[in-house]
Amino acid sequence: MESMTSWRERLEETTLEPARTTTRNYYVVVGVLLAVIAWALFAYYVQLRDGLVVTGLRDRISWGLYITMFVFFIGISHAGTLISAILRVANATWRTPVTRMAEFITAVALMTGALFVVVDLGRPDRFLLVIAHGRWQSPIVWDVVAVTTYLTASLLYLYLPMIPDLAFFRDRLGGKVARWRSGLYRLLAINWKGTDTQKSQLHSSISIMMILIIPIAVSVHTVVSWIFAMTLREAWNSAIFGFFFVAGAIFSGIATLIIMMALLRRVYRLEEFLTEKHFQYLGFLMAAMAGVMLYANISEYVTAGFKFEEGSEFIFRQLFVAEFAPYFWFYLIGGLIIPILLMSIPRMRTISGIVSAAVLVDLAMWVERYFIVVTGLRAPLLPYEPANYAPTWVEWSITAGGFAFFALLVTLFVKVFPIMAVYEMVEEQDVRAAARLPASGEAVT
Amino acid sequence: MMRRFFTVTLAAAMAIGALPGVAGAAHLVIEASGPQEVIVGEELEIGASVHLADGTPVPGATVVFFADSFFAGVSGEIRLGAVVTNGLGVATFPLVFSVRGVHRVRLEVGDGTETQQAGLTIGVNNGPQIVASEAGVEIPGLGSWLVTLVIAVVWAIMIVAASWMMRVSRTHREEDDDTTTPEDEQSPNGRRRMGRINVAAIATGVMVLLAVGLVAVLIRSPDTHHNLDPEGYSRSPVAYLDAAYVYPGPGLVDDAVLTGDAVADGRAQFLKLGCAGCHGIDAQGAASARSPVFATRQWLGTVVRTGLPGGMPAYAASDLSDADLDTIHAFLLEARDVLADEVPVGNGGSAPISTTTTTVAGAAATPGFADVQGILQPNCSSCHGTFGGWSAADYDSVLNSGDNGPAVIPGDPEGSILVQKLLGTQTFGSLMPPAGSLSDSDIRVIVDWIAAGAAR
Repeated sequence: MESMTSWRERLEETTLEPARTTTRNYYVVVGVLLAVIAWALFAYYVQLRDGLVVTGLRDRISWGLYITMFVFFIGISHAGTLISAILRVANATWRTPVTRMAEFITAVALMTGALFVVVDLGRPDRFLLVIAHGRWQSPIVWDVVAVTTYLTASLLYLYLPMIPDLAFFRDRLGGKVARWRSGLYRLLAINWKGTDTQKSQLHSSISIMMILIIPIAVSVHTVVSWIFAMTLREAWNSAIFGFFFVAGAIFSGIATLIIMMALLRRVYRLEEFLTEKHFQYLGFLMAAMAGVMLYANISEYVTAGFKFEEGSEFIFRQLFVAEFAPYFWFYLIGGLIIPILLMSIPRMRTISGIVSAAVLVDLAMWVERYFIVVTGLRAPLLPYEPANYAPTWVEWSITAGGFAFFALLVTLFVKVFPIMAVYEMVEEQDVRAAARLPASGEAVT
Repeated sequence: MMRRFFTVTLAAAMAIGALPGVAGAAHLVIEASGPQEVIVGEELEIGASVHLADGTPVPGATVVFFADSFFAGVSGEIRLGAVVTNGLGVATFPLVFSVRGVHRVRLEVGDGTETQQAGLTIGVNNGPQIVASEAGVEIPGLGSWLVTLVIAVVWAIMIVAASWMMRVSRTHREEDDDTTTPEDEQSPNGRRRMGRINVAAIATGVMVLLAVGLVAVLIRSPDTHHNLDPEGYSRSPVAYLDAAYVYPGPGLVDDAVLTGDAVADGRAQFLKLGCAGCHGIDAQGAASARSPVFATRQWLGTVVRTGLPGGMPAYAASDLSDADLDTIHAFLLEARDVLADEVPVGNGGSAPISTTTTTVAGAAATPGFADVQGILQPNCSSCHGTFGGWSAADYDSVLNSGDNGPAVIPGDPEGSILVQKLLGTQTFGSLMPPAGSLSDSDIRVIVDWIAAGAAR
């Protein structure tokens, strides 16, 4: 009992720590991120002023880095759904220390991704026409509906389990931090006192959301894939695109979660709670998803390559041997096969090994989104030379700004909000204690 | 004799039959009836009344219906079908015309020994679109309502979850309403007010608004693009099988712009007939066709009427009258002057190339036939050699072929038709190439080659 109380105290202190003290490095990081975002805003101003002609996008290749970023970020937003909702439904108890981060990645990645749809518009004001003249037959409208629904649901799903932790912050930090923050915790904690009625009501809300958010998440990335698959392009004529994109989304979501966990663990000394075991479990999940992706690729290319309909040759040539071969083989070998190999060698299942695999996966998935977008549009529909696309400094700047925006939101979040689900972890610890099981943090080391 | 008589009779009968209305001879009479005017796509009935000369109806007679028709440039009569007359001696045949114009229907009835005919002329006018593609497969019950329903249900569940979150905050108030937290004591006014803002309620309210908005977009969506087909508006004009929307050709202007000014009208014709599509909007020439500004009126007439291999179409006098061709020529002359002001075309304006100064050139610098061929092949052979007349194919043809005698007189550049044509000093025809003179240096190579004896 003694060790348990101290475990709980350590957990609480660790979670409170980022909100209490701010180092100089923190300001440096925020400053750098803000500078990148400011530069991106300037680039966006140039784009608004002069039009999309300042980008490499032209009539034939009209989607490039921006749509790549959109698909990539919508993809990693699946981290929260999988880790949090699916594992919650499956009652996998090891998930509790990582759920909060996963859920937060979901919300932030969605905001970043949705932003890039607007960035891709030469006339962003015309986005309103989707509301005014949207047709339900249009994949664009499906996207707007699905992303809005998913964003709302994921914010709610992030917020609901955080209420008790916010109350904990309110009680422990109230009056000791800046006024606006005390007020914020008070507001967001919505009078949570931890009564049994409140617990059961909150539990009902979470139960609904954890089930509802799974089909919503699947629908979102399916619809994103349909933006491609519903367009008459040889490279995108695929019935498995929906499945393929959802699998890729979960895959890159896990990788992003692993990277973020490793960073936060280092910066905020979460070693006791985020153990090697957590990384290994997520690593195994990632390797399993890599297998699924590998299978999807084989299924996709073998069926198309066996029939080899007119037009397939161009697609296969540019992907397998010509212009896009470096990207494709990096994705296939570096992003799918090597991570599986890394996870199958016991000696490599260290945190650094798993994080390297995750970095490879994220890079590969970004590259994959890029070549799916560009190779599909590149193939000529008339007897032309293939179109070419090279992003300009404006696109690279705004892309960098997108990553910075994502990183900034994460950085600010961990400063203000509880980064671990203290309430759930403690609750689960109580269950374990009752069952005379060792504490999760201690058991696995 | 008998045979001839029969033929004449038949011809007479047919001549009568060609007239609308009653036709008859001997005792069998057939009358045709039907509308005089219909529109394209309208269903109509051709009626045939067969009776004897005294008015007695003839039941059981077979009436054959024919109509004139054309397909792929071939016109003739087609047999539509045959109908047996009823007890009143009447046979009807349903018909739909899909092509505008004056159509003739012919009816024929015979009793084995004689054949009688009647004819009917029907004017078919423009009508509405009669062929529209039905895109997609209509699956009963499937529609926007299903998507709307799914989205509405999802949002309803989410709002229920959010409303339970509202209960969380309310429950506490009811349970210990009197409790004051330490913060309240520290700052009774500000904190307390903030505490009254119910985040859960606000969030739920925002969600309700979003849900209503999204569902409204979906519900409204079938009406946003007039795809309910309002009156007089069709989104998909797929095929018009009449002359209401004749293909206007590649021209850019209408007859209405003709002014009477030869140059302006010539330009209008030049645009309207599609000349500008290949020859450039200012007749300046392009990759697809040369500039025609140096063409003489006679040459223009020849080329325009007969066309050229390689794409220049032939225009018949019915499409382009000689008078219009005159205006086009006037425009081309004007265009020639305009172009001469903008870009130096040929050697107009620059010093004329002397044909005499380099008559005796250093042997080393004297160009050979290969050099000349290098200039003639790309510039001349696309027409010459393929289109008759002078040919630039080989040495002999360069020197001697052509309708106007030898093109090259060795040692006499000025007297050579080839040089005259290149310099514009010719006594007939126009400067060559029609797209504009060769460069001065190219012409000099040819002049020098001829001056030096036009060696092989």
